[in-house]
Amino acid sequence: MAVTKRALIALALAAAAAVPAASAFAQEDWPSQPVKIIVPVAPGGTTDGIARLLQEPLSQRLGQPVVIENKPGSAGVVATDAVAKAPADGYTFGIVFTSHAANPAMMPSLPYDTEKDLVPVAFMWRSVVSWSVPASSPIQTFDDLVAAAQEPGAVIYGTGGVGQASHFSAELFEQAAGVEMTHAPYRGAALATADAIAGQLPLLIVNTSTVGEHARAGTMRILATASPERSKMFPDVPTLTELGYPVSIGEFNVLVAPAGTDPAILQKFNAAVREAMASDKVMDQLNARDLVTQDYDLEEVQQFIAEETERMGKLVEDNDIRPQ
Amino acid sequence: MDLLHNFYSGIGIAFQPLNLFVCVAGVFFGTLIGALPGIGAIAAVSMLLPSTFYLEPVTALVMLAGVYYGAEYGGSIASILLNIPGTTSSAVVCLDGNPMARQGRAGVALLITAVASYTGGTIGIVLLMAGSPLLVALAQSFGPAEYFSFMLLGLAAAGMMGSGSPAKGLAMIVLGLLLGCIGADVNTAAPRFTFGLTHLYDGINVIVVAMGLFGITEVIFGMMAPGRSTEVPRVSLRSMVPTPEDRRRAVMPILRGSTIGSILGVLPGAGATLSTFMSYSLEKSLARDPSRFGKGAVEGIAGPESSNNAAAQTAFIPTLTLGIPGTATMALMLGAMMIHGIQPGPAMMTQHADIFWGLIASFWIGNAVLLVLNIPLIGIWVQMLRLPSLYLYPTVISLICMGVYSINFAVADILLVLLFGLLGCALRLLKCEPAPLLIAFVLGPMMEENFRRAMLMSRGDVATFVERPLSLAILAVTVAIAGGMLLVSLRRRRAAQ
Amino acid sequence: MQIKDSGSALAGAGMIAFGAVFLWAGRDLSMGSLQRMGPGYFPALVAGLSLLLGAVLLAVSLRPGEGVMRIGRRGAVVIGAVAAAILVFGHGIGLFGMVPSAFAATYLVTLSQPEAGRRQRLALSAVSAGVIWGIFLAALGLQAPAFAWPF
Repeated sequence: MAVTKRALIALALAAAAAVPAASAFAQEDWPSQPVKIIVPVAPGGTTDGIARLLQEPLSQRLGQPVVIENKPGSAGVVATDAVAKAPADGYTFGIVFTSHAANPAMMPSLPYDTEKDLVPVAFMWRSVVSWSVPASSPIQTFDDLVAAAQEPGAVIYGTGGVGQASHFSAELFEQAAGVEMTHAPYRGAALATADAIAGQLPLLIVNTSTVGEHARAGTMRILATASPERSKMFPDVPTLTELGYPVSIGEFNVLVAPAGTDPAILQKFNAAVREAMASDKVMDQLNARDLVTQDYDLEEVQQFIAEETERMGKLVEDNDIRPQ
Repeated sequence: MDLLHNFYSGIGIAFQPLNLFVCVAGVFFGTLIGALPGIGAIAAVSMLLPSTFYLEPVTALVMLAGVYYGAEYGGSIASILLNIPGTTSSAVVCLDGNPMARQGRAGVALLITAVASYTGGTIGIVLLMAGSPLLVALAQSFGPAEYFSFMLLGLAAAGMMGSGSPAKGLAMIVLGLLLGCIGADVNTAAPRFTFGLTHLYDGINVIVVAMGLFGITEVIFGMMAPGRSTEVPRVSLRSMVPTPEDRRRAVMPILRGSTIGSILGVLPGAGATLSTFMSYSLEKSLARDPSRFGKGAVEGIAGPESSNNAAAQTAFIPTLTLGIPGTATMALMLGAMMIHGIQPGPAMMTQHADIFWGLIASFWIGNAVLLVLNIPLIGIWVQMLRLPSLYLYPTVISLICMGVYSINFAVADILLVLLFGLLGCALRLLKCEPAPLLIAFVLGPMMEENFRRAMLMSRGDVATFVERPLSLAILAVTVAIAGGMLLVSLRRRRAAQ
Repeated sequence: MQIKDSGSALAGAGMIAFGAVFLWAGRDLSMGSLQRMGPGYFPALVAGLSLLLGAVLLAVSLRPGEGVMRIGRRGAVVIGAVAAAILVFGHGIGLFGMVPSAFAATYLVTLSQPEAGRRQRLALSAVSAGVIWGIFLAALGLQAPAFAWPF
């Protein structure tokens, strides 16, 4: 009995001594518990769908379950705030949109500091933003559209909402072409698309995944895309850059973590996400929805977000796209 | 006869044992969850959505459709028995359903509700099969101007619902519009009336408003009277059978309600919400004695309930054929399809014909299951009323708090539900009816959005509302309703003097 | 000039108060033009209507009407108990989890019912907490803790 007791005490002492050492090796055995990804939208929709698709291949690579938590609200601010305030232990990540890069300039009262409280970890995907008109529209080509836009405010374009990539693509174009159009924001791209198909909205700016079916059915005509390279779904449609307007933007999903998370953990997570994104099941869905992934390492994704934040900030300042 | 053949093959898919099983299970759980105060169809579908990701596409959708119908019907149970509606549509069913329950006719009310749902759903499905292209064309002739006129008509109809003073009814509508202004402005993303709270940026959730105004208030007033809440006679199968009088009164409202619901359900955003109380107002204005409404009129539940379910069916038309969800629940269903690699849209009927028809057939089976499952259960539901208020109400408070919390995991929602509960108490003490408030709260933001869009597109020309023929026609109906209301209230005043 | 219907009078005063608060809170929102309406346009319009209806209700209150419902002491106790219960639930759920919060909230509500005995209250609260656990955790699988301890 005595021996056992002594052994137990020794064991307890050893364990106590090992505690500080254990935390120093935290990144060695990370992850030792389920990893949570906070999704800023309700279940359903592209962002949630791809995140859930990523769950299985990602947890295979991490060796721990990946939990999806939906926290919709305030165009992602609620979810991002939850990430910013979570412990920086490598078990909480969150998805951010393009608006993440514009928010510091657009929203004066953000409950967190985009650059100080959060750190970008991995790139998931970017959408192809397309400019389309109803089939019945007299506008046949992009040049027709530019001609019509010469009259200030004459062209009315609809998007899924203020502060989305589609909205910024129009602002960037207006800046580049020196024209002025009228923005009609909707509560979601689907409702804008409904009005466009019905011929109530002259110009529709939404992701190709939303308008693609209608373009194939011939009810909508895609004039151009705002992506850096041509859409895989519509390879015949020129990009705005090709047409002479340096507009290159898409709605992106990027994973972020609370600032202060161990860089070694971030490295591991970045590598796991990149591998998972490249798995067949995920790639099939990305292709079906005309989404593009970028194989960015940790440094590249951080540089990407920094550049986007600067670019969006300048755009918001220059055009005074700000709630008043 | 291609249509029948397609439907027949769809029935074959829906009747596969697994699909049939999940349909029944979905309806059952949906009813159970929907009957709980604080949890509506949207919450039920979104909670169960992730668990369907591992099923076959058709099976997953069949189950979700079952949950959806079940939860809608469950909402009516809570409305009729406890006077606690979770949505605007069940707030309408409360108006006459709860008085019926208080008169000891809860069984009849629930049976008529089930039959009206089934009939409305069936008519909606027939139209869904036969008239998709036609109904899509109707929805497409609606622009911002038409939507605005249409919502104005909705508000006029909401004003007709009350049975009290017209000035108070109007005040409730205005209060609802005012509360609807809270949240970020769609056009500029400017926060409005949020008082610096991030939580209010998306506006107040309609479930929070409904649970506070109706649920908390009902519980408070229920507990003010000591002892048993209501005297409920034993419910035998016989007492559930509607009298010939009831049946005669229910038939036409069900048919009219189904028609209204089928047509309005196609309109994205507004249709399903509007159809219920449009049907209620229509029945009230057609009735020989409108004063029976609000006191347990059978027409007042038969019409709205059938229109609600018909709209639930035809709301799938824009979702399936255009890929455009009309309501939050439809958006969830759309999300479920896309996760399974089905892109709803013009090509769906050709590319995924099996899923399209399987889904439609299972809609119908879901409705039938709803009817078969619930008739024997009505007795059990009614037993709930026999519980003394002491057992029931304290638990309902906890359920409401938890249900509201589960929407967004926000403590702020729990505090808001209390504020709306206190508002509901004040309104009841002042004899103001909260139903028009709730409807205006939902319609207000859509109205503003469409008005501004219409102004944007017509370059500030207000005449656009009367220059567009469809908009003009809707406005004419609105004016007729408002005029009728004025006339009725004048006549009532003269009669009182 | 005498108020004969205090219900309408109070409702009218309430509408004027609501209208005034919204006008004040929205004073910084831009109005814009009719073609490009600013975020302040529609709320100002509705707030104006609210003031107008408040005035109408005050005018109506000069004639006899429906009056107000009285609740008495028991009513006030019930309202107080329910308010306290909801506040306790709201503050408790983050600290102690859903089961203790539901238990405490239910117990507080039962305190407003003099007919209940102490044992009955405790039993009822336990059942209520069990129902909450069964529905939200066991059946719906909500991602929220049943029990928690903040200290």
